[in-house]
Amino acid sequence: MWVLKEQGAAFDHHEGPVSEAGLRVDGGEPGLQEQAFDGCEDCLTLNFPSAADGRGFSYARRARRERGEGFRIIATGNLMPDQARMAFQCGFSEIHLDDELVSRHGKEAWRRATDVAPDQLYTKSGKAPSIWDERHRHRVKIQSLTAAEAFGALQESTNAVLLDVRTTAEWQFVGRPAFERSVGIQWQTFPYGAANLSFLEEVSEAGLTQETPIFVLCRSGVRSLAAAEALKEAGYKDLTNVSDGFEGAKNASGRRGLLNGWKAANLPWNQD
Amino acid sequence: MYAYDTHDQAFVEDRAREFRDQVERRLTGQLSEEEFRPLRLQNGLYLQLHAYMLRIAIPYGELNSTQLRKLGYIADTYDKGYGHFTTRQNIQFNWPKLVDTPDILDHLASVQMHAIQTSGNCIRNVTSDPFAGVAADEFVDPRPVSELLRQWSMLHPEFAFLPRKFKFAVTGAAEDRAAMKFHDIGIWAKTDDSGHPVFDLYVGGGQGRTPRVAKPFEPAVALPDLLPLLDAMLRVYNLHGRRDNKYKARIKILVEELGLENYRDEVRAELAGMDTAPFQSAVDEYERIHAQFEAAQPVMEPGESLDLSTASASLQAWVGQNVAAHRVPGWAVVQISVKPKGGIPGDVTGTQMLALADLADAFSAGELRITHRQNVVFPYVRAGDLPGLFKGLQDIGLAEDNIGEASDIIACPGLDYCGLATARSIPVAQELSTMLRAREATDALGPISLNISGCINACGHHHAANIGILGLNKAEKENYQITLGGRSDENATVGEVLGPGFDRDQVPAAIGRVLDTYLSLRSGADERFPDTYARVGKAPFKEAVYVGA
Repeated sequence: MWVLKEQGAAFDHHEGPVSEAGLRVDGGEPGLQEQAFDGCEDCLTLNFPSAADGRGFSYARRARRERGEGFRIIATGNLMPDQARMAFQCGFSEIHLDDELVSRHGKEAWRRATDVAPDQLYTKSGKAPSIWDERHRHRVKIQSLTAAEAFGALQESTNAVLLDVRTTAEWQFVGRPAFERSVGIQWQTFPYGAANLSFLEEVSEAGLTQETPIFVLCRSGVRSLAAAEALKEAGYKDLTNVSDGFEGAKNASGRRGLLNGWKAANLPWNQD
Repeated sequence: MYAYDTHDQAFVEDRAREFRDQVERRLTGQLSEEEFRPLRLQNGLYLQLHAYMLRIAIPYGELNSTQLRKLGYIADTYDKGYGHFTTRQNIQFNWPKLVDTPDILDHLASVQMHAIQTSGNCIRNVTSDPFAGVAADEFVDPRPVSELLRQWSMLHPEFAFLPRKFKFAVTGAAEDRAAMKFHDIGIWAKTDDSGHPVFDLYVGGGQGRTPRVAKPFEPAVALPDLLPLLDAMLRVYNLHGRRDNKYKARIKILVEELGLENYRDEVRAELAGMDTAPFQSAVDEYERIHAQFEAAQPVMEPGESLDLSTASASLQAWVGQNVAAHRVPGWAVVQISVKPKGGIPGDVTGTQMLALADLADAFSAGELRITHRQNVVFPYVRAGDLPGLFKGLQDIGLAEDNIGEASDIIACPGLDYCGLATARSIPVAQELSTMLRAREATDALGPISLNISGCINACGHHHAANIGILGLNKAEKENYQITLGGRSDENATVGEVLGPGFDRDQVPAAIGRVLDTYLSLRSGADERFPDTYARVGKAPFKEAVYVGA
């Protein structure tokens, strides 16, 4: 019998046929059949009748949750190397394999079973950190300030940068804030609003580092928030969204630039 | 649309590498065909009648021009120069070689695509409203939650070997354009009083040999509760769903045999003990995805609608039939029919794909959608650009003005390709298309759905059609059964079998008599086919088709 363990991905040969320990669970019909097995009190053996029968994965998930860490959950029967990842991610601690099965798949295939498969999933499964947890681990909070508050903070700072993510057309026809440390990089491009795929590249080329305090500004605070989210994901740590943007929201007659925003707050601006 | 970050990119590249290894082990015999089968299926690779078929995922039907160009390249390089849009908003290629498939997956990964879980007994590609984000009747954009589900279900270790396949559809609008109630789990996104998204869940819908409309499972599920609940629903199904008979293995049968209440109790018991820690970052992730979709949406300034008074009759007809209401005035949702008169539903050539990609760049901010009715949608078209787009579509033979009409036929590949089929679907669709286009030119039939399946597995959605056609094999002869009155919208209904089937050459005449009966019995031009059928019942149709013949 061969034993593949999650711990250290150990793969070793043991004399004798596949042994079963603890409660033995068989995949019969109509339901799984459980039968007490002599010996081990803190283990469970789950027999896969065929590689296509995935009940064992759900059973193991439930058993791992109920019995906690340290409990041995063993998979036997007809598994493929390609299922070793799934087994460990669902809570199995060991896979016990028949010699014949191992020689057909090839020892090599079993030995590297967990190396070839993608081990990082989106939702946390098993021990590897999940993609979602990694994405959101450094939860940088994006601050939200009005244009007037942001201008005050920018003036007080010695290195904070105002990042204007509107389009070239908006800069040209609507105007731009008059502030010394300003950078203009489009988030979406004129005229179709397609995403600017080199946004992050251009931010870094403009000399902004992950430590630079960045105040992101657009027309009314929506695109700038999306841009700030993208910067956050790229590792920028000090981010502020200018919530009312350059032109602000529409007033009752549907016009911008009067209700709130950089222009309405009478902050300095100019036109090309 | 959603753009991959480094995690997403690494994920699809790792998966393509894993599949290359699996193909090599199959070719050397280390993996038996029985073992290889579920592995290739979970990468979209089927063995059909004549060759392998590769089905590529188009998550919730959304595609950009770069991706479509790559699909065109694959059609021309690895296939016989065409591909086929499917009812799961995917695309499939009918002639790839097994040894080439790892290379194709690498090509797909290079444009943020994959073929993961487009087949096999696992969670399949999530489908959604092809008008997502631009529909005039939308409550919630269904794409962010669809993408969240895509990520959650990718290589989910517990649910890769379910009793049978598992399909999700998500919609977020008043009208259901995603056939949500014909899915294992249907999700209807709405907003609560404070504007947060909530999700009505339906369970146990499906087609095949036991068509069922999904039953309401739980209303107004809040976002943080959604994934734990879905995990519990799937776990109960995985443990208790039948594995002794593949025709009784879908969740619809489990729900029916257990009873909805008992199934719900089992799910709640499972949920009570569940470790929800793995889902704690799901809400942050939803917000990240949501912000991405919002940011990627083109800026659409309201504009004027198009004045068609001096336009050609063909342009007027095309705009009238194929253009749907956009949420921004002066913009258009353009539906491009992949159902040319006498053509094969859903088939596009590599050349057409490349041309469509250019048109999407010129007229739709580089984005397009595939619909479950096997058509294409351009979601971001300025009203003023409609004439230019129409001209471009005429040049590539994709300007048929028949969206929503009877000739806008859904058809499965049938016995021309499929190993399960009992009869051909494609030639029937082609003959009907020719007959119906001629009728549509003279009779104002209005919207009618007509779907064809080449076997009882119902891939052509015949149960869900106003007029359904099912191809069977009766004494070694193709025989076609007609069902009437089905619909796949928010009032989903399973069609009724009209009577004994027909030989292939009798089908167009029989369908013609069904249409005559509808025209003579409808209360007015605005009474839709299924409404007339529900009002008058089967008898007059049966009499016209069988007695009047």
